[in-house]
Amino acid sequence: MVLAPASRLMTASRAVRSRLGLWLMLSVGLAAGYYALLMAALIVRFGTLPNYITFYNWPASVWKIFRSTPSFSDVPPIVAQEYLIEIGYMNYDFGHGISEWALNILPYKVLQVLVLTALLAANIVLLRSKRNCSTGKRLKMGAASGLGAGFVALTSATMSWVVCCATPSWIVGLSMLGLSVSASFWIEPVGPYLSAAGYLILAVTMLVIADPAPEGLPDGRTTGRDHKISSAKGVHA
Amino acid sequence: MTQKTLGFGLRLALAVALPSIPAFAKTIDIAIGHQSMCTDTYTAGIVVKELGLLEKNLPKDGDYADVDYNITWADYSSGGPITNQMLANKLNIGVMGDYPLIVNGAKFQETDSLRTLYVAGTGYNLKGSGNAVVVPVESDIYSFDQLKGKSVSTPVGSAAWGMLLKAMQDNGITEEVSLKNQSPAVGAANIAAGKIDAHSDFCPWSEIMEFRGTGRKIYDGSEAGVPYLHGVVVRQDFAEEYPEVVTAFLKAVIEAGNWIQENPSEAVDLMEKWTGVEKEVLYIYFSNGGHLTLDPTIKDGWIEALKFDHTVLVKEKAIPPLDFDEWITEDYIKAAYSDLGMDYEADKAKVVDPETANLGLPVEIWHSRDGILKYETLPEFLKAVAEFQGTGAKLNATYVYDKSTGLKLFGKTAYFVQGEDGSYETFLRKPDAESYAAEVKGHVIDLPTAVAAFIPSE
Repeated sequence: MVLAPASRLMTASRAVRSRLGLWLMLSVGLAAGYYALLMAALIVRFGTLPNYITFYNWPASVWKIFRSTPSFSDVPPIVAQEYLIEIGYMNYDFGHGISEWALNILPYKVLQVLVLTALLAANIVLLRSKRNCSTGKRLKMGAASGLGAGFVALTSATMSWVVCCATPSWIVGLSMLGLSVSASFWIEPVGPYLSAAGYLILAVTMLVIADPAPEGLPDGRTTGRDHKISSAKGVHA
Repeated sequence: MTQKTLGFGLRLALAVALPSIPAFAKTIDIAIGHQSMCTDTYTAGIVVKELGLLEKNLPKDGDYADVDYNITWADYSSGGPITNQMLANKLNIGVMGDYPLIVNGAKFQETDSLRTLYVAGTGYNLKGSGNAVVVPVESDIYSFDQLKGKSVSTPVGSAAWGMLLKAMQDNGITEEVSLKNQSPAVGAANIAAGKIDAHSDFCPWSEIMEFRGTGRKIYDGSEAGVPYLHGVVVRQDFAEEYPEVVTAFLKAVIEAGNWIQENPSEAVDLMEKWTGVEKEVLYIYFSNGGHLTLDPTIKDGWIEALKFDHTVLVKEKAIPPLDFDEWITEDYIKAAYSDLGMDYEADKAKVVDPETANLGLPVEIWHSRDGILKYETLPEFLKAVAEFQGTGAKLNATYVYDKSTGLKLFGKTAYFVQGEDGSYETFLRKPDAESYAAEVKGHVIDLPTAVAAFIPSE
């Protein structure tokens, strides 16, 4: 398989542009669905509905961090931890209330999730555009996209479960699922690599699907070489 | 000529007017992160806030003559978020327990340009009391080694978690205990419902569970033998820009401690209103003979304890390295002592060990109407409880001391040993009580049984 990334990117870009409305709807819808799913998971896991919501002045916080952090290299990781919204459950059985669990909306993470959903939406649009693509290949590409999306989704979760000293972290999701403490901490440093692997899988899958020739593009163009390969495999009628 | 006259007129007008225009006062923002559900932080948190001790001590002359202060307090249920807010410069000062303190210092030192300073303690327990392992009150578990094969929850990353790891190592059951991550509130609820075999937590959760009658301590942090301490961290840039403000804050911390020590029962009454934590629980920490020694000095032993805690965190959570020499400074707390005319070195040299310090302290009854009543001996105490019960008087709580460790205990959770000679002793742990009973040919009883012997007969 010849990758020719530039031409495949062009193909992907054309496919997305030709169905821009669908792509946008999918990108935003999937991101919203992702956060709705996280909230649902918290409600189901803890058996309580959220009883508080707090909005934060994110731009002001970022400006403050920017002004008061001498080294610019320190700014991004600190900004990445800033909240925009916090929705959670406050337990009033002890003291004046303790936030027991919360879904934290961090703009930096939202951006990551939007990149994820944009790639996923591009893959969906590309797969839809390739109507002649074999079911087997569709399944493979779908599975690869799902795997990549799963990695990123898992490591982008920003739930906090107010165990002492815990802040929103992707391993909270694993702990909620019952993964042991030691295993959660062992796996925590792997998060960024897992996330990067997820994006890479999604991007590579997109490039593979965006093969300009064999299954036919929306405008119906193919190349002779790819056509031959496809015919040899008996994929196309 | 006209221009010259106009220029002169303007200069004259400005010269006359400028002094009468009020200068724009500089505002210093002081943002403090504290924890109203962590007793050991109160002298640098809720007490300073509610008594206005920081406002009282802030400098108001010299460079600070025209300064306005904008003081904000933010309450958190753990130390982690305080560190994040300090990194974002939304908090200048944070107060937290030993493990979160270390994470704070290490996370800052991991950055290129930001640092915190550990400037003072708030209080300590020499051997680690404050952390404890609790089981449901009906459980048949009475000692730590019985946790083999059981599930124990703890807020991972907290001092209680560190204590639990050490206790598991000390008892050789590291592999046999299933560790679960649970918040204090969830852990307490699960203990009440009997959903977990045991829960390890920090101050004052174990005592809350005991006071509410849902949990029973089987292991006290003092058995781990590692000091349990809390302290104050300040962003270095803030401390360097406004050193007098940091000193003022530490003067407030010292005064908060003095205020509690002067009248603990009144202090816990107010602290209950401020925090929602029951005053009877707070009394076990803040009273004479309580778990907490209020002392802001930085002792060499504390630095060693913090270094030990750091090794645990490096091993279990892979936290970054921490240069303790760069992080810890006594300069500000020494200045605060000096300003208040107090002897820092004398306080630094003092170490309170409950085992010796609490020897001979009177046992207590908290009468709902008459307040704290003290009794020199356990028979006098038991007789008084019996009499009060006979009149239907409401007793908020009773307090005795563990013979083994000197720790203050709720009378209702203590194991009483009645010796052959009719004498009484009280214990925290059942195995200790049984061992002592065998030694003195006595028997182990609970408070109601002990009191029953003193109920006047007709």
